Amino acid sequence: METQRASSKTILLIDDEDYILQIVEACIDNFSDWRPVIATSGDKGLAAAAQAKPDAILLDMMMPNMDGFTFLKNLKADPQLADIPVVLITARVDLLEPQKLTKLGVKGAIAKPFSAIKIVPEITKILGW
Amino acid sequence: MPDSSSNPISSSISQFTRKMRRSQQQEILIAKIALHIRQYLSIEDIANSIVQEVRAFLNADRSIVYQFNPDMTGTVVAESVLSPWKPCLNQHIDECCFQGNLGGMYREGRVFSTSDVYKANLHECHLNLMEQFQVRANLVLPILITDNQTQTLWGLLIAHQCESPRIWEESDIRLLQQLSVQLAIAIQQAELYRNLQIANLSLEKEIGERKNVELALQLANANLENRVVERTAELYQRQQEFIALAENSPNVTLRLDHQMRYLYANPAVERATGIPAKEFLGKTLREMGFPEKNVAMLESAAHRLLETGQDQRYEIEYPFPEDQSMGYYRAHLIPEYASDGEIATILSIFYDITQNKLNEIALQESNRRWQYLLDNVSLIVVGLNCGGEVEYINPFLLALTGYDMEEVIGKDWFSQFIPQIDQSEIREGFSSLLINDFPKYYQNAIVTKAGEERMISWNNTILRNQENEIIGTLSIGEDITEKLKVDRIKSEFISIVSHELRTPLASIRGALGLISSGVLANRPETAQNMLNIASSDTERLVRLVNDILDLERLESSKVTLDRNWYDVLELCQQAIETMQAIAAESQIEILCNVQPQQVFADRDRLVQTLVNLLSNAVKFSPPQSQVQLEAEQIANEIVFRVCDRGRGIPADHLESIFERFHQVDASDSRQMGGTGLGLAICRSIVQQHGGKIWVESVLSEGSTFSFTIPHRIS
Repeated sequence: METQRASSKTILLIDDEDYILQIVEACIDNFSDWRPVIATSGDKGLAAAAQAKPDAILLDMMMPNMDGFTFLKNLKADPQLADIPVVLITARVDLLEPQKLTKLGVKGAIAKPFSAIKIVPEITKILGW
Repeated sequence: MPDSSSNPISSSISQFTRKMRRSQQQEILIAKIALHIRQYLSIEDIANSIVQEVRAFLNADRSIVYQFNPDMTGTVVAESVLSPWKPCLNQHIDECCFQGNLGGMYREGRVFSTSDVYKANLHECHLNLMEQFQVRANLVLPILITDNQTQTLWGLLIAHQCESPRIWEESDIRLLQQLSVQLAIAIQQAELYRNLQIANLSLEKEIGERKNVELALQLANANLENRVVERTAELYQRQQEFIALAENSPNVTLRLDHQMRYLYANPAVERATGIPAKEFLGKTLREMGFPEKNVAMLESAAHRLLETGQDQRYEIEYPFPEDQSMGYYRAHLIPEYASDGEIATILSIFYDITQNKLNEIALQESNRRWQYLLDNVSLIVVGLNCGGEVEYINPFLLALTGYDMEEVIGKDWFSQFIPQIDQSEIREGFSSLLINDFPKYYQNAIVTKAGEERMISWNNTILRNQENEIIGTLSIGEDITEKLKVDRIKSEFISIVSHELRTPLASIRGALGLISSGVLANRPETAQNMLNIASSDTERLVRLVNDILDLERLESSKVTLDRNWYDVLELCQQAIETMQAIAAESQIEILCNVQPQQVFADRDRLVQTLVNLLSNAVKFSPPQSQVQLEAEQIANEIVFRVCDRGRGIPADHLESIFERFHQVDASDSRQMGGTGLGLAICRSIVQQHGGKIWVESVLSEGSTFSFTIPHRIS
């Protein structure tokens, strides 16, 4: 199925919440032509980023073991990956302030609970796609 | 009558008569001259008189008195000379013949007479002298003064005949000899008289001088008397001034003798005591009935003064007579010395310092209040000088940091209290900001003696002296360590709660959003999956909200336990029954090792606790393993234990897992279906029962959760 689609962009989804991953994936499948890649932890996300070379990363912040902050630090430390734009998808509404986003070095953020039909346009807008 | 000239007898008689007459005349003349010259008391007068008499009697051309000097030169001191013969008065004669033989024969009383100088075979110098004075014949007799058998050649009595030679008669010579004797006597008499006069003059002079001295003395005496009068007046005036000074002095001024009796008291004493000054005189303070304290202090100070000779000062109080309000005085005792150097009296002056004292008391009271506030306030207070050294530190700060006062006073604040890493920055900030703009508020950590860091919120004030110069700082600080910790926990809790609530909401909203959008119309399996997700997370959200509300009610003590005596075994079996299905599903066996016994508890809450613990044990136990529930009475409480063979809990989590949302692994709540609040609820229930809850664990071997329920709350 996926190979049949003319995927213009690959987007890496990182979240420890399985339900969230399923829903976001379904949203991308139904509302965009992007190719979603799934990772359930920060560690796995770094490995997936290195392997899939995504055009963007949609990142949850509150995860066990390696949280979003640590993931970002590691990502920025890797020259191969540092330039991949990151959009947060988080319940930490305190992180939505522009200064904090700038400080974290991410393009933007989407707050949980998000709207299923608006999430793709929001990502598109944030990334300028 | 016969002619006498013709008669030899008659002639002889006549001649004899003539001689007699002449002799008589000579005697008369001598007597007359003697009498005459005795009238004179000056040698000049005598000499002048005699030369007149001699020249007239001898009918000579010149008669002179010549006086020798000690060197045998001489001077003509008197002269009678007929005109036209050359006068020689006052002529100084340097006669070589006299000098050569010291007067020669004249000393022997020899008379020298020459009838004609040109025939007398004179020495040439003598002849020259004669010619100088036109002398043709001369008669010279020495004037010899006799004193104590010694004859001294005083001078010469001389008669000159200038016109022609003359033969000097014997009678003439004899006359002159007699006259020279008389002259010598007169001269001696005159000299005596002159000496007497000199002595008299000397005496008169001495008397005069004595009179002058006496006058001077009288004058000096008068001056002295005047000065004494002036000085007395001056002293009197000054004494009056001093008396006026003492009498009008606002300070109580008193004079005491050695027995402490008053010799003087000025009017100010009445204003201070209400007792007239005169009543003090002759009495002691003790005799006047003054308070013992006043008496004792005065006596003590006076004795010290008498012993040491030094001024004494002390302060004393005495009520004002008009309103009995307390007056304060500074006493000053001063020794007064007699002329023998001993202390004669004691001057005591009392200065009214009431106003100063009242101000001082008010200031002390004010200071005491501030000090009390600083010493007892539950805030940190520290005063630093400009060098950053501790000048004041309050007990609260000492207690907080664990230091003693002497360990910190005078020490450098920064090196002792500021964490090493912040020291240079804060010290520099202090120095520069002290000059420029001191920040009123800031926060920094301080280090206690034990090495613990405490975060302090400071409120700073710059201290200035009266010249407005900065002398240091006074800072009041609040230990906000706990507050920051609570804030952080609260912030974290809100963050976690937010996450825990938003995550299931996100699933529900997302799943339902996809379905309602219609994009899954042709994908019934996906749509079903989305409905399942929404349903599952709705349950999760309900559990979470219930647990949050339950915990909130437990912790706010809004829940009143319904405690009764129940059988422990029965309660345990109820809990196991509740968990049985889930355990069986996970292939876990729950063993119960409980004897029948009574527990005093809220039945539902105790079962809720046991279910929670069993639930956790089942969740974390590997399949085919066993979970054991035990309960036993120890002393006055029942101890429950739930043991599993799970993965165990790291040591650093043994305490924190009882905190809200403090799972060992945050993902457990989703994976294991928990809310992250179960253990917090258990702890709250146990604590409500007066018991305690804890966990012991060995990693990879298992954990044992224990809690106690006492029979009664102590």
